[in-house]
Amino acid sequence: MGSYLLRRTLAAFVSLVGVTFITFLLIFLVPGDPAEMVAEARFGHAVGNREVELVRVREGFDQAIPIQYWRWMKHLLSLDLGHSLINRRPVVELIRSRLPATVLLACSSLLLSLAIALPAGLVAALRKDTWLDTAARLFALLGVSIPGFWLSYLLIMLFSLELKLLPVSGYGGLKNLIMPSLALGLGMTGLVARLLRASLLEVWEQDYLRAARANGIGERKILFKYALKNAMIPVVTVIGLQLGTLLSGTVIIESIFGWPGLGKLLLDGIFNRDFPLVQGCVLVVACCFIVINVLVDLLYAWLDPRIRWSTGG
Amino acid sequence: MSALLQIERLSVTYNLNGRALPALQEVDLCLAPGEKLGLVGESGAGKTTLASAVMGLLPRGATVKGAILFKGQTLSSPLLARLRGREMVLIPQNVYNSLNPVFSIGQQMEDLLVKAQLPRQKRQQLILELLGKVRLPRPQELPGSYPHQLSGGMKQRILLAMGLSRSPSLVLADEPTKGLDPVRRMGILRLVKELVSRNGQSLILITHDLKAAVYLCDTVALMYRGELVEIIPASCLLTAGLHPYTRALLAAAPERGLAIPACGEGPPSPAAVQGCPYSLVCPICLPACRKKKPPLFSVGPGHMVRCGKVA
Repeated sequence: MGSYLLRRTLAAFVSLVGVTFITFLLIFLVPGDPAEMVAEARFGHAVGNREVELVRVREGFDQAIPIQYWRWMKHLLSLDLGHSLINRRPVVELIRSRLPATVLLACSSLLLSLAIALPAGLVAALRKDTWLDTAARLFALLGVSIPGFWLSYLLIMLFSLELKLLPVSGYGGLKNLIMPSLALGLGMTGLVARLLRASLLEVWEQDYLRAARANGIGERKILFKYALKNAMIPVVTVIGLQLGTLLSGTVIIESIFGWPGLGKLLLDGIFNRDFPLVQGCVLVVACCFIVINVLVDLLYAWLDPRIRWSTGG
Repeated sequence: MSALLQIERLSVTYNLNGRALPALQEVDLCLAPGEKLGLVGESGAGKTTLASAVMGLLPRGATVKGAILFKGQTLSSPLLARLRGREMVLIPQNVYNSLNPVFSIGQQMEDLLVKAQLPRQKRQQLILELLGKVRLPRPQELPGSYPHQLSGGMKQRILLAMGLSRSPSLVLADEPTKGLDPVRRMGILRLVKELVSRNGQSLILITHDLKAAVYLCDTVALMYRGELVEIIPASCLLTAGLHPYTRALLAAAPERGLAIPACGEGPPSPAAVQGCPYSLVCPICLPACRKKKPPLFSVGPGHMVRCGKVA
């Protein structure tokens, strides 16, 4: 178990270093000369060559890429991601002010999604081939197929414009949280419900459940302990993968609902060609993704002892 | 002495995509307390179906006709829920997948003792005792280990320990030596014999192996295509088996070079045969056998045969 944890952490660290390198290279993917962009931001639109060259030397844009990377990393390690080209505020500060909103949205979306998907998958499997199963499967299929942005507008039309129950957009109360969470988590809900149903049906046929029954274990325990822990193994894997999709989904959903989170910050940064801001946001999202993956792997190891002890390499 | 288990005209039909598949046909069996019965037949003869029917563990969609009585009471599902694991257990067939892969041996065994309301330490001690009883080496290391870390022989012993944990009066062992090498096989058989006879428990042993049945059992029942064809005291089986199917099985024993005389594949479905189900491959079949299924004839004390020739 200890060595499994160590290996996973080590692998995560390597990914982190890779992420910083790719994030750094984003500067060169943005069309235009970075030195010119920085100079424009500092001195106004009508900058001359002199100002551009000044910035190029001061910020080190004239140096070799490895050296630039090294400088950038040194700043990063002291939590300095530079300043926004637009409003001159430190990127770290901007991210810090926006991150809680995104974390809130992602968590509530995840919880809401699981709260719908797990019971739906369970009921569908237990009531296989009844109308309940058909309804749950149809719902799951719709969930997987409907794009989140389209659902967002449907939800707004129904709950805000027609029924006037929920605010169209904004941030603050619980009412603001409902529609974006639903829209963001919909795909995951459908996928998890379908997978749990399939996985549980497969586990249901296994000899160890029959053996447990023959030993007098009660049906409730068979389902919630003996079967479910086995059935959750593939489901947890997919939840882990879906969390990445959830994070990237925030970019669109936050824009639609005017949610002041990281996704919207990132999108604004891209539209404004504010590359330090884009770098910062991408870096933070990527780090979140890696950390989540390590956590999912640990959960996976807890679920499946065969993973824990397969310490092959 | 009244019977522990009484099976009366038990028929089981599986439903395979709307097609009726008869698995057991009018089986009558009686098991006295402490009696050990061997159930022998080739794959698909209905041995496991019989055990599942007794345990109430038939798959969804199976139709059951006839009656099963345990200690004089007709088995119903609420009664079965009370009896399973306490009064009757099934030692499962597939050793390799019969322990839950995601729980430790200790966790799985503890679930069987939960009802006993014992303090934790006492339960742990009891588990070690049970593991010791099935002669597992170093039992103290086992509760913390997981099924994938254990060999087939160890798993089989653990399954035995679990099944016998609450001293049931009826033990159904479904091919307990399946998939084990010959050395382990003998060890398991010896262990089953010792444990079951020590407590005077009744046993139904399902097996392909005639010699295992003779070794462990008082009576052997031979099944062919869902029907009992011969019931015989185990001591007479090797010498006085009468039914042509019994004789074919005896002749197919490995030390005789595995020659299978006139056995072969049977008809596609036993329902398709009018008379004796064995008549299609029977070397001594009479014309009458093809028309009408012979009943079970009593040919001696505790010895019955379903064969037209014997009558």
